[in-house]
Amino acid sequence: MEIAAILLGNILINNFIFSRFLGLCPFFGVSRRVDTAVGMSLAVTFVTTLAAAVTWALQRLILEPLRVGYLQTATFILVIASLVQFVEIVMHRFVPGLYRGLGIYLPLITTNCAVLGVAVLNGEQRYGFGGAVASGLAAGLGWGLAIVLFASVRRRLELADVPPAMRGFPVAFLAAGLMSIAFSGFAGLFSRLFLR
Amino acid sequence: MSVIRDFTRGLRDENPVFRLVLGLCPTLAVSTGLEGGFWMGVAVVFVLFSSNIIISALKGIIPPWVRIPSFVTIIAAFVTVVQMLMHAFLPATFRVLGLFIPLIVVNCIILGRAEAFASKRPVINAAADGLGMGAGFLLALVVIGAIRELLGTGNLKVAGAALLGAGVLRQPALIALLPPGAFLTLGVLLGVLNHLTRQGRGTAAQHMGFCTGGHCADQGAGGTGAAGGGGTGAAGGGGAGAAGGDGVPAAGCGAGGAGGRCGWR
Amino acid sequence: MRQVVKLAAFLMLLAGAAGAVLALSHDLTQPRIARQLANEKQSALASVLPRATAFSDQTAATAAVRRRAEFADVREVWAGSAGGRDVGRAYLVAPVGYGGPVETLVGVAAGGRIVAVRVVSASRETPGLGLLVKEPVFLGQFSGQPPDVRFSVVTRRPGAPAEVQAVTGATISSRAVVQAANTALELEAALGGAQAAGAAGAAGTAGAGAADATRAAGGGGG
Repeated sequence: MEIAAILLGNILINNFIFSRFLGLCPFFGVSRRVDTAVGMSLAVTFVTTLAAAVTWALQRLILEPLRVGYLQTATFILVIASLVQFVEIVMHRFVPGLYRGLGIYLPLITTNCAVLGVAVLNGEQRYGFGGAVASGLAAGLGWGLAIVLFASVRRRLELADVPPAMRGFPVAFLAAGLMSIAFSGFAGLFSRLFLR
Repeated sequence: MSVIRDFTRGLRDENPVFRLVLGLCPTLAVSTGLEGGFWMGVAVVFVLFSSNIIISALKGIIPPWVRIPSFVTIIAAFVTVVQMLMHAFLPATFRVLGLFIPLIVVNCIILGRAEAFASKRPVINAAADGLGMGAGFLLALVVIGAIRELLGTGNLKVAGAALLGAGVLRQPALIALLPPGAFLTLGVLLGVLNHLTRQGRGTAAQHMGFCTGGHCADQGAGGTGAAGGGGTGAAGGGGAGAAGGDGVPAAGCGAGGAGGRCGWR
Repeated sequence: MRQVVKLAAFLMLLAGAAGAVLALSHDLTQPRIARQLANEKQSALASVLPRATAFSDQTAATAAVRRRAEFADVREVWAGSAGGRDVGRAYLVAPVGYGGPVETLVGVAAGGRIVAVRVVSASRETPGLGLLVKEPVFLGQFSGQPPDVRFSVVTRRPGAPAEVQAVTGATISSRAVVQAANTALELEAALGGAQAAGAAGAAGTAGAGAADATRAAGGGGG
């Protein structure tokens, strides 16, 4: 049940984009086309899940026993960077088509706040290994959901008659704001389903 | 004087938030108040300034192949120092900023400037650039934070003291403090700024892919210098308008440099 | 191959230098941080058990009882005493609220009556909504209630004594605090008998925990 709560929480209720503001730079950069958005979300979800697992182990097995918790930021980001590099190599080998399709967006997953964000959040929430992995998976899925939805909206925006000063980013932000309001409606979902 | 230019550029022409639209995560999340925005800005100034200096100083001995991991290590070290200093001397602010202090390390602005500027210019210029970009970020955060706090609570609080007496709004718009408010505020601000500076469709802010401002622009074929290249370089590389494909900056990055890939090579 | 070794060596050196800088900063800032934490903890404890003058950490001593599933959210247990006499206990309970744990300190006097409730940390709750559970307006509802009650959240004006009105628009965060209060009362009841022994005795049985000795200003002597 806890796993289900974590999944629901990170995907809908505390959506990483619309609630937590994590992973915004690529969000506004990649969301112009739906297929790019989908490819990117798959890659990001893969990385967040893997990163959540590895950083959990790093935190519990190395940082805490050795009492060097202050190295968390540095070690986490270096681990994430290496993971992304590793994912790149694996993808290049096994799914070259997808690798080429994602292009430069793949290495830039390292700077996606959502990845480091979910790793740090997992530590704060004191999840067990299963919870941490579920949290990472859900973070990526929620991010992907947000970006795919947003890509469809942006396609429409390009065809709309927007005042010159608002074209591009300004109106995109307004659209994101409206979507954020919509997503905040999920807050009630939690209490209905999970609170005793 | 070029050093002065390097400083002012980050404040106005290439304000990281308003022009380059970078570093969005902390900008939107932390700007619920004037004070929070201010201290986050200060933290970023410190990290930008310090890491730009160190990276510029070490640019001769950092092997190109491992430059990104090296930059990340240096930046992460400074971010951790900021974390510790804040925890020790500003515990209340530390708690408010929470998760976003360690997230400074993945702030596109910092890694971008390191890659595009600090690793290529003398220490003095890099330092000025770091200060300028940081100051620009601080400015943006303070402005957005003030607007949101004013609209959301009707008052501005600095060091616990309310600046506007009992508040100027009878019924504050709470939404300004919530996530939607962040998006809406920034959207409107960007629109207003575009209008005021008479830049419509062609604004640099429009063609920014993430991190293209610093990260990839230097390898873009059209990049007019690392910093200025942020706008025109990506635009040249990514298609002139929104209608042109999805503005993938890969063209700029793919064309130039060894290996033709941005980021790790 | 040699290239790889050279690159790796450089990175190791850089990482080592960074690590050294961090370790140094840590050593320089840690004492101050620890002092601050201790001060904050003491003042929080004093605010929920105002009549106590000394506190002793009972977290280790109560571990056996706390192993039960319903006490999973309890992080710390403190016993307050004044002049060697037991005043009550303070429980730090952290149930999950809207975005994360809501650390709540509940002061319970002997007899199962809640003295005061303070929310120590609710950093993941929403500003302007969930964060308002830290306000005295909400928290004051927990004081002055009959002993051994079970609190419940209502969204309208409370009718019965054990009903707590939630912060408007922040039912989840409010529920978390209520849950903390209930858990604290349940744990107090479960520990019931031990209370008669008083802070002095409790500190004695918990002598195994070195932490107690340093933290119990008054109890250490008893």
